[in-house]
Amino acid sequence: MKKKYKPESSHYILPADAKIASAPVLSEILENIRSSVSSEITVDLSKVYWISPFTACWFAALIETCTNENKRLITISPQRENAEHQWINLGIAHYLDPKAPKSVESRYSTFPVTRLTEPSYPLAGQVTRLLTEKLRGVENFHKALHFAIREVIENTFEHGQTDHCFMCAYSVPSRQVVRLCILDTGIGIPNSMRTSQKYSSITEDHQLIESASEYGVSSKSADRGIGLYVMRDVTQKNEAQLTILSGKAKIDITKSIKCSELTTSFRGTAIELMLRTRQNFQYLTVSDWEAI
Amino acid sequence: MSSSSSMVRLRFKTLLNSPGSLRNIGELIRETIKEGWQKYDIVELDFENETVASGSLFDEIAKLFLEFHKEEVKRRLKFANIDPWDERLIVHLVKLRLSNTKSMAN
Repeated sequence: MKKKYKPESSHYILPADAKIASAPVLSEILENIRSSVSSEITVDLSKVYWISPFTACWFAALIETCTNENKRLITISPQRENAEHQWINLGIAHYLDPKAPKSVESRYSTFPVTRLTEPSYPLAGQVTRLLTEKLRGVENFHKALHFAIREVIENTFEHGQTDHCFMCAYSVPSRQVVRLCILDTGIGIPNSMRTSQKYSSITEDHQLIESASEYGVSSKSADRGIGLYVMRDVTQKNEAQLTILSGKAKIDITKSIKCSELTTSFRGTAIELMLRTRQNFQYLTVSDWEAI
Repeated sequence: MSSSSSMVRLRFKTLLNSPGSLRNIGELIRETIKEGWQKYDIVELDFENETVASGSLFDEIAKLFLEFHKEEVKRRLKFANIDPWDERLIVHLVKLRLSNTKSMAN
């Protein structure tokens, strides 16, 4: 099975469905590139038919890895039209080559893959406006998305022990759906949690990630840990999916929670959120101070 | 910051420019509110129509409900020009804080 994706040490063929579902394969490719002695790396996307914001962020991390390891990166661009358009519109083509086109006509609104070097306060609002301008006016959906973007960016810099992350997103007005990903190559949620004495003895990465999404659980202190909890709550109350990839675990949260174990550890954290608008979208109930 | 004899107004945008994460800024706001209460009866936090949408920042404000009696906080802390969804988020986080404290006590 592994040979399918790694026919030789410097040549990697991406799976056709290069979404976060393929994270085990993509994590392995990144690690193999890091440990490869070859000075030239070829990544072949010719079979890819779908590129998601996660793929875009993963690719940006791959470019960075090759640069840091002094390896020359050769890419074989997607051949299928849909993937080719996503390759351009999600900003990967331009990220690789500043002379490449930034966009082609599309029914998507996109926030191309971007390297963030600080938790820019206004960015969450700007991205939310960009993604929701063509969506139906479900106000609580917009506010939930704004909240999610701000929390993930903030968590990345506060807990990830990293000085940057990658972000990419798109919305599809015809389907009333938004998908976004924020990926960093920091220490990852399991290792961040283990810095707290309370969680240091837990060996299973998925247990630590699940704990991090519970109320009031944080590596920093016992009275923190809100962002992931609220995101998980919003996800479970709506037509949504929250995927957390970190260390050797991938957690898919929908109405239920599914944990998968990776053979190769993912360095850092990737969070991908899919939210679909609905008239009855559930975010926060009315503010009732009297009820407190 | 502006004040009358019984009330002081804190401008959110000024506090937001403080260094640190949004949780750090939330801690600073909580401490500034407590300092304000030592001199004034009411502290008004003017959000100047800025959407905050930060759980960690608002959670720090929600912690006031653990340090003071809830009726006192409700009477002495006022929000001006706040995004209604931010107010909902604060109420939600206060409820979570209080119910969590209650369940831990039981």
